[in-house]
Amino acid sequence: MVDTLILHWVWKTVFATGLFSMAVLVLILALRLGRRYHAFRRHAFRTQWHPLLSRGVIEDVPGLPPLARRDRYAFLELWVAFQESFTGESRERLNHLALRLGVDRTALRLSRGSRLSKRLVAMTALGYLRCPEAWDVLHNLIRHANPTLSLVAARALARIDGNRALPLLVPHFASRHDWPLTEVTQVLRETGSDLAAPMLGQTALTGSPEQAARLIRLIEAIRGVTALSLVREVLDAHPDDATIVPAALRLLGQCEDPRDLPRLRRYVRHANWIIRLQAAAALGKMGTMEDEDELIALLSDQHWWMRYRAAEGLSRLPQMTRQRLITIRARIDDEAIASVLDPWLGPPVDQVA
Amino acid sequence: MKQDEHEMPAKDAPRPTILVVEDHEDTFTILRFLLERGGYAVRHAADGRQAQELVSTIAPTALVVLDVMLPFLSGLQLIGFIRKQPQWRSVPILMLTSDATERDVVLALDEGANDYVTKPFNPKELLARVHRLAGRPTALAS
Repeated sequence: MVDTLILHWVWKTVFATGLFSMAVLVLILALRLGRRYHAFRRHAFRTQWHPLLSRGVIEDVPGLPPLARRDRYAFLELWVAFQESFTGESRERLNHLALRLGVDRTALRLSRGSRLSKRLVAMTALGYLRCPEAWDVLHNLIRHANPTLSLVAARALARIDGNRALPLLVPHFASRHDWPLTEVTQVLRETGSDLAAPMLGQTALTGSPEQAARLIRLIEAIRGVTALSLVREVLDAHPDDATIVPAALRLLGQCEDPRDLPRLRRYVRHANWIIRLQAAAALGKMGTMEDEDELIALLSDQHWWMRYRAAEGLSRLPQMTRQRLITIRARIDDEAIASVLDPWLGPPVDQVA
Repeated sequence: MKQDEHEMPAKDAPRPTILVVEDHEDTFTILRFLLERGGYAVRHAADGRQAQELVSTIAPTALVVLDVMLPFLSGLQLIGFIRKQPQWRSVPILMLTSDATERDVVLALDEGANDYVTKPFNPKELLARVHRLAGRPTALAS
């Protein structure tokens, strides 16, 4: 009786294990087939559409084949990659091709969806397409907590209409510290430095010191010379701010306007060494021989970086020669201080062929 | 070793060959399309080592289109290598740089590159530079 019961249980266990193994095997096969089918579909899609897009970059493509509904997202991905590879009239040609296929409607639908990756591709596409119907959706998204999503929305808005977008975006550029400066710089460069720089400068005048400093760094990144007078106003309004002054001095050094020399000279003796450092670096770019004594004095600064920048600034002064640097070095008694000039002296005279 | 070769058969005259060193498949596909339509045959190396091997084994091409950022050996290192090969010394080199590596342009020109194009690029500008450096293919010129 017991033996029969045990045999029954053994048989049941073997059957269940076999059934389970079969199920796992079928599942593995289904997954593999699914992957192969997906790869096949992807390959077929690329084989058909990659050459068409490549051709579309340089000429009109008559008689486009229909784009299957299931391929619409894949097309958007590929199309965005093409947009990011080219400039000039190729982008217009790609836009024309996309509009003929009606993928702008697909992008609009996907931009409201829940899958982040699809939303990002769709929003990028809407920006390249300069789709005005997407404005409200994108505008709402620039306040989104996700920095990637909000920044992609901002970029798309700037592409759709830079003039209209910048006044909306600049306050966010100032306050959203989760938006990397390099990415924001790209957005600003696309809209054009001449348009963006004055708006950044105006907002810097009214923003908090921290925001103003961030905006000035952006002006520097896009070489916004047109905002220089506004930045001078910001600097004069906050003459001792530890965040604004270094950023402003860096910008002044970049623009090399000789009218800023008196401003720079005021800061080379500042108590804050980071401010002194930026003043010395800027003087190195635009200073005159009048600044020689000041820079020599800074060679004795307590901070190594400060001494380094002072030495670099000295070496860059107009009319500075290697011989004159050697003479300056010889006049300094402290070898540790004098040696900071060595990188700009080149090899010792006896080693020069 | 994977070494792609994409050559269009010559119809009227032999097509000048261009060596494209580019690791990004999509970018290379686009470049190949543009160059072949422009009348050139294209040889491809997908990384620095493949490029070194090709330069050591094949006859000099009309032009080398060279990406700066490459696996194993950078574009800048490759310029030095190419310029040391006696047969390749005079082959023009067109660098492809991204916005972020624009500072490499000065280094590339110092090393011996002849010109550069920044990615993303304008296809017409790229082809114009290629024609200037490699010579316009005979079929197109006529």
